[in-house]
Amino acid sequence: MTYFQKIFDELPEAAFMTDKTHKITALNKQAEEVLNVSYEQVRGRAFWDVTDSSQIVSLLEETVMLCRPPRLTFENSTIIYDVRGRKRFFKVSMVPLVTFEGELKNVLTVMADITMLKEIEQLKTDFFATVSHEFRTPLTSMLMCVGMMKMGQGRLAEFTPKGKEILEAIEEDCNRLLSLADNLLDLSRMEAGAIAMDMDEAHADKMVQAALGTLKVQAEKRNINLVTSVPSDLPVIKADINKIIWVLTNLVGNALRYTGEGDTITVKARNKGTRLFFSVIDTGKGIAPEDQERIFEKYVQGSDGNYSSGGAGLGLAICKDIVEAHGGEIWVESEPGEGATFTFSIPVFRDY
Amino acid sequence: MTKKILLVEDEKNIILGVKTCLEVADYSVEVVEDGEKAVDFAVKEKPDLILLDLMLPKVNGFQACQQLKSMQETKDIPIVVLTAKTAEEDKERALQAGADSYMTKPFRPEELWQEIKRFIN
Repeated sequence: MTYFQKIFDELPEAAFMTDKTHKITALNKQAEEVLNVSYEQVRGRAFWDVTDSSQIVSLLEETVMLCRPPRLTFENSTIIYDVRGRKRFFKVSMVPLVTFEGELKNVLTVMADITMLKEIEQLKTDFFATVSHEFRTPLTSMLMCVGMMKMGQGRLAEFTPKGKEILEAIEEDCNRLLSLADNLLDLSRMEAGAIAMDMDEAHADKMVQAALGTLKVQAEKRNINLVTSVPSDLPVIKADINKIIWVLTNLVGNALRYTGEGDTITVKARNKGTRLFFSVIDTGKGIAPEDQERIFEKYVQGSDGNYSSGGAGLGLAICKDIVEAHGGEIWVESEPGEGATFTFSIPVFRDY
Repeated sequence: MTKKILLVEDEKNIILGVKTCLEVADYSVEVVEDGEKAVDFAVKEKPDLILLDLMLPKVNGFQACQQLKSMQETKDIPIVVLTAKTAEEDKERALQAGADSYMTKPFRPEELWQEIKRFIN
């Protein structure tokens, strides 16, 4: 056994090497276990004889052809069934090993077992879904009853002005609890979704229109001007359309919450260099400087309850996750009393 | 004539809220708390509309819906599903089971009235 083989065997991850025709030139103990083969048997054989994972084979081809590591993210996990038929998830990485002359000799593939991570993630998603569901049931009867009392429908109750104020407060907080439950559910879906971003060709104007759909009515009701400025000839971006719409909806929803009658909310998109910039500009009460950094963190709310979504401050944190997953950035500019501008950028071209 | 609505729900406070909401709008409301009783009641009493929760004891909402829509006597009664299940798959499943409409809890009194008016007036 060579010194190299010894080190190789000591790696915690499954690892193997293949030459440029994908013949196996080295394979460690963990890989023997994962692929359910022995090195003696498979040495010198083509990799596709050893496994039916076409994903690994195509990644190997990409690495040899382009002589660079394949573009991989956490999303590209490879599934392999173990001896007992259980599903295991692996994060695969590949490095081309090149001589001084620049000739590709071997490709080193390392497979990290991320099954446990996946399972924990699933547990979390299920847990949030359950919590959200359990919140909805009591909220249904509460909102129903408060709604009817407020209407005074069927002379259910007569209230003094103070009593009406209390009812309003109950309804407001029920709604807050509901949006928290929604946020939790969204968060778990988004985080689970970070594994599977659904990238597609996305048009800025269409996404803005979709995001504003339901919010237009709300703005109209409250006499807030909702203005869009999105040129239709902006470059197409690669993005997860539903997630970007979610971000826009959230930003405009926030702006609606912190503006009043006569205020204006402008949704703008523009192209500068290799990025598209989306801005949501409002003429509301603005954000204190000390809060501007922190509002994108999870579970943080502005010191006076400003600009967070529905109480727990998850909305903006999710926005940040989504924008960053696209390779973009999000930030806010604001002067107290002068309104706020939330802007995020998405790269125009991104090679996946 | 007063329209008769069958509410299939097992949460007592939701029963209180929904029943009151329907009564102030002049509907007559019968409540049963599981899917089995829902089917029995519907066959016997022929309500004008059924409000159906999905998570029910004994026969669940999906099954009850399927049974109601497969029987000659009840297949034309509109079924509005009222549920806290927000996943798209559940909606799909309920519609496939024959539900005429799907409302996610919570909803406001006006929303419930509006939805019911789509089917009976």
